[in-house]
Amino acid sequence: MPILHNMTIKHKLISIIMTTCIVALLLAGIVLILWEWSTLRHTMARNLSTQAEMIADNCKAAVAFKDAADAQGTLGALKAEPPIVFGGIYGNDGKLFAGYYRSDADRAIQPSRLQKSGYTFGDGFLTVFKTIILDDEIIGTVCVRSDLRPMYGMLIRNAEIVTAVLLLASMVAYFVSSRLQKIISTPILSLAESARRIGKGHFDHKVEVHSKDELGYLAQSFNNMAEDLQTTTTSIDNLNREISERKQAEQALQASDRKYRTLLENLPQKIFLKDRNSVYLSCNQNYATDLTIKPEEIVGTTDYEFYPKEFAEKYRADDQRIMQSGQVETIEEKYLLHGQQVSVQTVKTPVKDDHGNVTGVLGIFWDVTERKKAEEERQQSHDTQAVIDKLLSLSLENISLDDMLERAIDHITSIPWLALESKGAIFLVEDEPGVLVMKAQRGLATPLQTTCARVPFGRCICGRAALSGDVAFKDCVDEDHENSYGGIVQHGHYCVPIISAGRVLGVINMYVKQGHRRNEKEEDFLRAVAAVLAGIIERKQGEQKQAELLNKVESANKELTDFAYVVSHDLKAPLRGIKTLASWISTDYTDKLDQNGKEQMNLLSSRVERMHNLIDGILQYSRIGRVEEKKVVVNLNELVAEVIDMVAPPQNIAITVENELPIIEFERTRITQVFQNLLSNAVKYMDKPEGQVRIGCAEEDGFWKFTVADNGPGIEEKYFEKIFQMFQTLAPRDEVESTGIGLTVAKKIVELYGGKIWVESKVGEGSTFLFTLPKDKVRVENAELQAGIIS
Amino acid sequence: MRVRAYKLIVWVLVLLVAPCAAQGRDESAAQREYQIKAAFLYNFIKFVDWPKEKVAESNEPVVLGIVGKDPFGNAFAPVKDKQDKGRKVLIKRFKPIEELKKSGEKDKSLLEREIDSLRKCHLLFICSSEEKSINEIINLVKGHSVLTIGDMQGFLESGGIINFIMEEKKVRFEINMTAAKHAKLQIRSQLLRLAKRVIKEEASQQAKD
Repeated sequence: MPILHNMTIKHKLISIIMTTCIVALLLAGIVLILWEWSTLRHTMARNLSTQAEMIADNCKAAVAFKDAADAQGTLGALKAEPPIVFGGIYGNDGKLFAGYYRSDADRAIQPSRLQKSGYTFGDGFLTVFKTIILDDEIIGTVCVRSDLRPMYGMLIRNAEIVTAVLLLASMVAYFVSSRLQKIISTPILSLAESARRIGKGHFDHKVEVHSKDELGYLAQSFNNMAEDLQTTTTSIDNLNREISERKQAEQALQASDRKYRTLLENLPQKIFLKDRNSVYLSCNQNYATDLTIKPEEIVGTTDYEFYPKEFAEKYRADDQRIMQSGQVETIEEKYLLHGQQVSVQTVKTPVKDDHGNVTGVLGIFWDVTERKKAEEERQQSHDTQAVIDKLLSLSLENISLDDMLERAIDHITSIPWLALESKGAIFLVEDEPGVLVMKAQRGLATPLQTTCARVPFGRCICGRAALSGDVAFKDCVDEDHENSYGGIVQHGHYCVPIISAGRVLGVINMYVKQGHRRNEKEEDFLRAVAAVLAGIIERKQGEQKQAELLNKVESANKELTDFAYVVSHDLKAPLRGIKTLASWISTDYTDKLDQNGKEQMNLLSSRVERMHNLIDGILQYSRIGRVEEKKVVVNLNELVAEVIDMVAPPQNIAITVENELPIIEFERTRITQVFQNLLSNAVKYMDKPEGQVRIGCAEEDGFWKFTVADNGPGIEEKYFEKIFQMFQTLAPRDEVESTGIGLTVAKKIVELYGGKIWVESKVGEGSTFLFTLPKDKVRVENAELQAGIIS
Repeated sequence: MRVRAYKLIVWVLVLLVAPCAAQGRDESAAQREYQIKAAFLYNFIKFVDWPKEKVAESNEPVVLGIVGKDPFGNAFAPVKDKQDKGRKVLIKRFKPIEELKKSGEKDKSLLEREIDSLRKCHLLFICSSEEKSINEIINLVKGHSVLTIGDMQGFLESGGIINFIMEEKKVRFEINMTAAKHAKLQIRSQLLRLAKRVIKEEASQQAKD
């Protein structure tokens, strides 16, 4: 109430009383008039309804017998009621059957629409409808309309009376209140005057109010207060002195505060202080500059106003943790400086009050981006080296090319710092030139695995890289990305060709995120990977080819052996025929042949014999490895003795076994062939009058090493290899009968068992044939059997 | 009722346009007159109170007898439709009295039965065919509280209670209060007010209205 504010107490009191009176009277008046209005309406409606009911009852017969004149007569009674402007009787068809109109009324005054029994106020009329019922049957409707103006006239008169009463009452109220207000205002005015005096320093002044109400008590308290004031004033001087001392101390404190403040401001680190709820309390100029605000503007803000949500949430979580634990923490974290992400080192310290309660957190942080960058670079080069190492070590493993590529792509896509998407593929050019075939992939979408299974050179990014022989880079899926599908996820690519000696072997395809920037370091790394892979692929492919060739050679060899067997077997039969025929001719024609003829026949026989031996040799040779004999336990001491018997050395040649020979498990015929060939050779070529052949055996590195040494003619070193080849003999055939197959057979048998055979010799002094057999291949597995043989 | 009448007028107009309509018009005018009379007969029931001993039980019908050559035809059909709500009205037709008497010569009990049922009627419409036997019929039902209704001049004077008359092509009626009083019938003032002529107890012929 701003108007009341500036009034004197006297006027305030009068105003309050007057307002209350008027409001109360006004309310009462309004309620009265509303009540009267409602009652009048109700009464009018009831009266008019009664009238309509009477007419309805009276005109029953008239309506039933269609006597309009009589009905008119019934309605004539309405003339007695001046407010009624219209009365009508309607038949069931809704047509006016009989009507009454007040003399001044217009014909249009009748209602536009008939209604059921009841009344309505509207258009300045009260309209009542009443159905005419004869014996439960509705035969018509009565309608009566009354003018509402007389009722409104009555209401206006009442309102005038109420207004008059209101005015009169207000005047009386004013008169009474201006008298009665003095009871309260006089002592208050007196109190005010006293207060003014005491305020001027007249503490001895007494307030002269003696009433027994609140004002009296107030005056009493006022007097007491004045007395107290008098006594207190004297101590105020002391107080003033104390205050000035405190002010000085405060100034000193402020100076010290300023000093530290200046120190903080000039520190290169950024410093801030937050309260318990991580709301900033203050910061130094350095930090404010970062946030592009003034230091004082930071008060009341939070991290959420300066940083993206995930940053702010992280900072807040750190704050809360440190305040809870009460421990100082050094945190390395990300920070946004003018939109650039940098690395900072932050030291956060909980701030405590005098009672040791944590009241906030103090933070100091500084930029460590350079250091981080250096670290990252180190890590990157380490990772790069590690991947290349892994790839190199892969090349040493004995695995297939496909497996190698699978593992290689795992290594390449596993680098954490590389901004590649851990998705990629390796393509190789295989049998069909100019087409890349996908060999390994990681994370490729299913449609692409089919689409990119074969990519011709020049198609899509990979094809382009292969065609150009250079790294292709894309930071998004554009029209060059020809191998695509609906709903392809946006991405970019490094496609690096794998090149060896100017030949494109394949392509490495690595995914990068959309919008990725081409990076020299990544490219160098991928180039290095491609180079390493090129070497490996070349070698692996070479190995594969070699293995294939070896296979081919083996099968060709086998076919040859089979052929040799078949041929020699089939040749033997006619040869036997020739030999028999020759012997028959020699016998039957012995007297008819002259000496020359006999010699020719002998020559024929010996040549056939040689032919026979040759074929036998080939047959034996081809049998080795093709026909497998059952392995048996062989006591070599006994076997060698038998072979010596078989060879039947002449008197001048002594064959000795120098030490105990082992018991082995072997194909009996084969080992017999080996010793027989070696011993017969030694005997055959012996050129000394006292021939010596020594058989020995020694253990060496898991092998049995056997030696057959003679003191024969010896062999020139250039023939050391040649003598083991088929049909190679050193002496002319006519001097020493030899097929040139024996050593070849021995070599094949020994090598079949994983052993070796070779010769050491000096011309004129003799030769030593040596051969080895791996112990674990010829070991007797069944100990009982072995024991049995020995016993 | 008025709706029906209106429809009839339309029908009449249609017939006017049609050829050889003259006879049809006369017939329809007569038909309409009797339809109104039929409706009046039904309405009389509602404005007349019978003495206690004659009042029909609620489930019994009010019997309306018609003596003589019935001029109504199917004029009761429209009013009959409305009967579901109100009291049932049973229409009983009697042969002309002469014929009855003739048959009574052969079988006396039959005649007695007919007379008995004649007396049981609440309303009895005496057709103009019976003009000669009016007195006889009125005497037969005297003292049995039968509301006799006629359709001829001098019916009231012969002791009938209500008589239809035509005035300016409108159906009106006149009432003999004396006869009603003798028959112990109470006729409501509303009905009396509508009568063209009322014969009071003093027998002075005083027309009302």
